[in-house]
Amino acid sequence: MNTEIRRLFKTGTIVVATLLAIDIGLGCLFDSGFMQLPIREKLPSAISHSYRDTPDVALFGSSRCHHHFVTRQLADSIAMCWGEPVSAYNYGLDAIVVNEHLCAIESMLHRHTPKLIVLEVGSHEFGKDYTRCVENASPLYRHDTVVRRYINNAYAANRFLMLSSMYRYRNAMPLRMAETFVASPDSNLGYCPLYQQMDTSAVYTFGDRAEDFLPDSAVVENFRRVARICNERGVTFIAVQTPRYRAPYFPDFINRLSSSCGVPFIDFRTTEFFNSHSELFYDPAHLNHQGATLFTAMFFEKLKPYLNDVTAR
Amino acid sequence: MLFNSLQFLLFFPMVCIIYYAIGGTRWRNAFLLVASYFFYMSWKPVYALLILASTIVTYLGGLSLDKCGNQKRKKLLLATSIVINIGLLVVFKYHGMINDTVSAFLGAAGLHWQLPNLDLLLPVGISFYTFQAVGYTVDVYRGTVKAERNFVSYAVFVSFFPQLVAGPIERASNLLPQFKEKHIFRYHDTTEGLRQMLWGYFMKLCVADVLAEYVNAVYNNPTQHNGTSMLIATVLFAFQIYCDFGGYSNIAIGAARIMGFRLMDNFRTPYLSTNIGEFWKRWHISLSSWFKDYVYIPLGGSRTGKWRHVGNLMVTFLVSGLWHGANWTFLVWGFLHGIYQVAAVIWRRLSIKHSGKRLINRLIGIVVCFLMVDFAWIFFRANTLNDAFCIVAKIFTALDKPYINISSLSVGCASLCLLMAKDLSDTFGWKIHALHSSNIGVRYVSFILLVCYILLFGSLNGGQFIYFQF
Repeated sequence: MNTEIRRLFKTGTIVVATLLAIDIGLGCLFDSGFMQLPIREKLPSAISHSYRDTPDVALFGSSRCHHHFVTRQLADSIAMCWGEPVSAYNYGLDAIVVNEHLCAIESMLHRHTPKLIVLEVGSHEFGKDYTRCVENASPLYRHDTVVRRYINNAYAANRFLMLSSMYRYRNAMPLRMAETFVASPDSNLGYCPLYQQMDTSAVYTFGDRAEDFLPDSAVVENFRRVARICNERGVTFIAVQTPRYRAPYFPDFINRLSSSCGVPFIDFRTTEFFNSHSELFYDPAHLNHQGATLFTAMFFEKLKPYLNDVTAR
Repeated sequence: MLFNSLQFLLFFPMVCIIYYAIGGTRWRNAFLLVASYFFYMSWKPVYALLILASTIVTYLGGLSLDKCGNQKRKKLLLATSIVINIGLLVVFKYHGMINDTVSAFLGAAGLHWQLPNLDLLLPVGISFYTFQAVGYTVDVYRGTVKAERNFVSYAVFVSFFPQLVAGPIERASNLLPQFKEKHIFRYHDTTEGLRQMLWGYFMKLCVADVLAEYVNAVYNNPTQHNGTSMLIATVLFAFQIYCDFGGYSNIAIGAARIMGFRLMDNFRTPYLSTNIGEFWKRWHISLSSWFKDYVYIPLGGSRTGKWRHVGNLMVTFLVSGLWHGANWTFLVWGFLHGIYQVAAVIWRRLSIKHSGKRLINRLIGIVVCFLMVDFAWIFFRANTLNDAFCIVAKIFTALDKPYINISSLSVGCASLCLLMAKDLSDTFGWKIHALHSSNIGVRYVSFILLVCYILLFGSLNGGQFIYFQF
């Protein structure tokens, strides 16, 4: 063999062996510490705690869950209804779509039976253009069979990539450690209030046109499976669309999907009340704290019939 | 197939192994041609026909120009070849813009007429390989390069996969002869190439893609953000685009080097330029020198009258703006850079001199130059002209508490510090670049730490390279 090639082979072996050793070492370190770090507010670590927590009421969704459901207010209202203390947590996470939430819900159901699960979701999140990734769960790939299944189903290459600890923990561990130092402890049970009022002169329109919408069959199947498990385990599973300011036409897919699975669907998107109260919004897609407080009360009213079901069980 | 995809990380080593395993240069070139077309067809196979058409037209054009003795006929041949190539570019890249503009003008006059809607998807890298092929034809016409008779060698020159989709736009005089040489495997070239690729990946994955999260959030919703956020996003975009395109160029040059090819430098620490003229000698060097050689100088360059010189500068930069995209925002960006150049000419003619060697003058020059370039980037990045004007207005009037994205800002800024340390060390000659240290231990450790840093902090979601769209 050419001496130059032999030299490259030797160098490559040393580099790869060192990288493997570092990867294994960091994997052991991160695996032992990741879930021990405290929850901080306003930061994207909350959803990873859904893989550890055992709440009675679990709220999942995107930023529109994170900023819309005043968790403590909702938990107190439900506690009054049930006549017993209720533990609740808002696992809403900015810019994360439904597949990630379904993974977290299914994993939770695997080890714990909450009484109520609320999923904030929009039809567009089932679209083909939306991601199947479950990035925030990737640190748990080796420990959680549900996470492993979701990640493997997202992209075939994941089976190979997830062999690397550094890849599994990419961004997650360093950021979680940074959060521990820079953010204040979570005092709102995952709810993150927004305090400004929307500038109505700058309202833009957005939304999905019906003709563009093509559902991702894998994500739809995940939704059906979660609904089935909840039904079998006696967990009340509710889908909800939260208000938007002057929302344009959205596909009706989530409504049809929910009814075909026997999942109650509460739709606030079309509630006219919010369209005439721009002062309740932070931006066209998100309510401010005042709006969120009002919305939580309205949501609780619509939730009541299903809460009675829970009490009966 | 993106450079930052798993497919490329499998494709590239396989190509290298087979390439060095093949004995003869002719077979190697044939293999490189197949590999390059495979690489290109991974986006949309049918667009390989376009690159093939461009290759055939310029190949035959080159041969005809070489044989032809009549100057008039030569000019006609050159014009035909250029019109066909640029015509393809116009149809695929500017059809939509021309259609919209024409119908808007006619609409203003009360007429309703539209060109047929072709619904074409912009073929990846069409602006790059078209310019490379046109450059070859002009060089043959001028007699600076001999027409290539071997079709395979010429085809692989046009489609060489490391620089096919986003440059550097190579000159025939540099790259074509390299396809005649037999490249033997060299340890030094391979490690240098790998180091350059790794730095390119760092620029792309740890700076550009990470900063993109913040920049996109602000620039895609300009009405929802205040002036401070706009200002931060605008400064960050300057580094995003540098690292996106500079990263791509580094990967391309490194990959070619591993196979024994030397591509031209495309970026030389551009944001440390002390004036706008220097900036264009350090930014996208292959394109700016292309425009200089094939547009600015044929127009007369600076060896004409005062007004003609100004006109030549404006035309060159307007065409450069248009090259970047079929959008009025790019044209305004080119116009601004044209104005900067004209201002620099006037500045020089007024004989206002300062000692460029003094550190303070140099620093002032760097800051002023960066601000000018960054201001123009607003028009480059904004989705529409209205957005751009809204952003400019907000930056000067609506300063408030900025939008903060902790993950993007913290990782992005930490990576930016590393990048600046390297750029400063390159510019000022400080020997602190650990990847090229003379100490073998430092080299190994820095290489390994950089790989770990990319894996832990890089945005590994396969983000597109910005310049692919051009």
